Amino acid sequence: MMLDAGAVKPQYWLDEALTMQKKLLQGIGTMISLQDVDVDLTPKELVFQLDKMRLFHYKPMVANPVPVPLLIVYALVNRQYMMDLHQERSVIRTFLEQGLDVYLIDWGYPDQSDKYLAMEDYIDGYLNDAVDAIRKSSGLDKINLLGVCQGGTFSVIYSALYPGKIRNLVTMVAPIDFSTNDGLLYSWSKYLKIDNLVDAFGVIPGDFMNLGFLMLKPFQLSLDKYVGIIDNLDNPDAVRDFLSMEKWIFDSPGQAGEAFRKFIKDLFQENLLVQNKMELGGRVVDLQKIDMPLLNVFAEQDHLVPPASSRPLNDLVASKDKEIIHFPGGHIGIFVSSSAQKKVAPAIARWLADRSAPEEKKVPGKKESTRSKSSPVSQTGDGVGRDGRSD
Amino acid sequence: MGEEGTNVWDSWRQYQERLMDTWNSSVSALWSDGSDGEKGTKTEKDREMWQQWWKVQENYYKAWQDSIKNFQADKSLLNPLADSSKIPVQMYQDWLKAIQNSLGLYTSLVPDPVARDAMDKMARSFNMYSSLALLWENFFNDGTVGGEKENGPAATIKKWQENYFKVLTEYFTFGLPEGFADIVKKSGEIAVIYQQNLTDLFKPWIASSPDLQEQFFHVLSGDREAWLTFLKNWQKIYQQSYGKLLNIPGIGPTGNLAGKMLASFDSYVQYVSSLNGFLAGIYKTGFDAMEGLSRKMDELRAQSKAPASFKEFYDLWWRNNEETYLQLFKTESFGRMFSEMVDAGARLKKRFNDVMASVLSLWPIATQKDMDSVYKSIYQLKKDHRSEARKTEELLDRLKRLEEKLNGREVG
Repeated sequence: MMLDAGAVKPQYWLDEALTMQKKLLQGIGTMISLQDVDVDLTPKELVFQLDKMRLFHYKPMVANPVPVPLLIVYALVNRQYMMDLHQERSVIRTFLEQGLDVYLIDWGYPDQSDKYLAMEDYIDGYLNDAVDAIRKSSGLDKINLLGVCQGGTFSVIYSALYPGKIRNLVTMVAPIDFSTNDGLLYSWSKYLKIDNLVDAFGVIPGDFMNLGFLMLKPFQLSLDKYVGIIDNLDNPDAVRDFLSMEKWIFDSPGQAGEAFRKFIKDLFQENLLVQNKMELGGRVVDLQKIDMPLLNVFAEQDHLVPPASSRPLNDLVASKDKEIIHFPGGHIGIFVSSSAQKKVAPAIARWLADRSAPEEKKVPGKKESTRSKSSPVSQTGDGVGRDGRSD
Repeated sequence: MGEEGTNVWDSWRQYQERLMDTWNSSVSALWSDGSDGEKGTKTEKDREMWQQWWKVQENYYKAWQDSIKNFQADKSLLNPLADSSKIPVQMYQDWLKAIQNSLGLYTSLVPDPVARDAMDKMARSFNMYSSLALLWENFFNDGTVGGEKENGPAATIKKWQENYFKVLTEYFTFGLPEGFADIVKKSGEIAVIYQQNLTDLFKPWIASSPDLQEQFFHVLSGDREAWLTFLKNWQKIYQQSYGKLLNIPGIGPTGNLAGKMLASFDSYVQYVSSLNGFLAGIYKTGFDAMEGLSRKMDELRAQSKAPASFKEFYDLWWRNNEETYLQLFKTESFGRMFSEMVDAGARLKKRFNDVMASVLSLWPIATQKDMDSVYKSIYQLKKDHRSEARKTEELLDRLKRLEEKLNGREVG
């Protein structure tokens, strides 16, 4: 090994270190001027509540919204306001601007009194009740459903069990096929002895889950991103973006033990869903029952839910109208990056609007999925990858 | 002091002064009259906070200047600067500590908890970054570590390696970034809580018996024999004290409680063993990462592509570490080892929950088991209620439709 470079003088690193120190101190000034890190700002109202689950309805932003309401189902892990971090980077806001009528489930923070909540309580109970509440208020038999990450898995299971209530199904970065070892969570979960963990904790602590996610990129997520932001501390917009994300990342609800046990065992460890062997509330979840139009959206560089886990869904369902959108980004970037804001959310909105014409009287033999010719969705180029379409 | 060293020193001081000016003007503006109303910082409370803050800042700066004066006055300390190419290691580290302390102080004034936490992490990352810069300078300039010259590249590398881990462990638990190391720390907390609870449980007897104190010390280090001896001696003292007083059969160490304590202690030993196995793998990977970095640096230097700035070196360093750890994480053996450590922690918690339930059962205090029973009943009642409510709603809907149908017929 050579050690004689000698070209690097202390001034260089001293200069760098001092520059960083200066930025840090300026950053404190910026931080002190921030009274609160505001997220989840798009106007909405609480329309239904059951236990800790709350259903919100966002105030429409166009005069005549798409006639079929959309229910967004987020994961139990982390909080749903990822979809509405702030006004310039809000999937929800983009949906509203594009004319969608948006509802969203907030699962709340489970405590020890929720330790016995099972997956069927979430899907057959809370989710089904939320869907019914929207059906009732809209007077429609079917609504649109969009599931994100674990919420995507729940939405797929729900659509298989209640196909008669879902007009169109959208999944975003949803884990479906758990046989892959592309992601570390998939390989670690296979060895996880879940029974002792659930029995010991009742509700799996959010910190435990969150730190597991940090382990997927230990140096980047625990060190480099903080070094990186120092460079931008004099930019209030960059600081605000950074803090919004920090707030979201470390706002981690616990996981109701019984639901978590089933998710790990039936899905991560036994991969029952794709084999049509998973049972919920005494019924088998048959993915072939999913016959409504399906849009499957995933991120090409997703380190949490790799494409290999999301992509297979389209081959497992009976839907004739099905499509895949893939975006060159990561699990979070697909929601918050400026590029995704311009491309992914509008593409989803257009896809939904095209398939959400007012319900007509069904004519025997007529194809259920129709395309709206007078969609309120703006028709701009979207710039996302597509495949697997088969009308 | 060589001329170049003096220049470096002067330049450093000038930086500090410019820094203070910038800091003063940028932060003062936040509280000055006519400042941006949006910032919402014009309250009297904010003003007071700012005045207090600035006072601390001024005091800090004066103290810092004094320490620098003293430093310059001590000629013996100036020796390292005789070699104009280096900043003395200790001085640099002291400087970093001073920054760390002041940043900690200022960070505590940030009102928003998310911003405060992020600022804290930034400060620690900055310290890590700066410490790494020092290592980098040592590595490249002449192989000097800690201000001492070693003979030959092998000795230098060895010394550098030692220093590398010394610096890293100062900021990283187990040589890993804090967030990641928290996994281990959080798991370790189970053991700490166990130890603490055990200590609290036996406190009345330990306090009055030096023998028990001595034995208990060994117990906490995982000595099973010491545990058995401790329990035996505790039983004697217990029966002469509280046991006699309470006269409750089955409470002694021969009863249910002792059995659960032994089981919990077995779990404790197993947990410590799993944790040690896990950490051994992590440590080894830390060394592998460092060796990998050395090799990569050699390759780059041979190609005349060595990092030209510290930032480039830093990027190479963290990416190399990330890659090395991820290679470990992808292995089946790591998956099993990680699972085993988590499971051992969960088993320990379960066992100790049993112990606490047994202890608390003597008193009119609800145990976790009692609460679980209540939670289960409430859960079931809610579920039944929802099921019945749904059935009722469906029946009402059917009734409504039927009525509409009948009304329609009547009208028709």
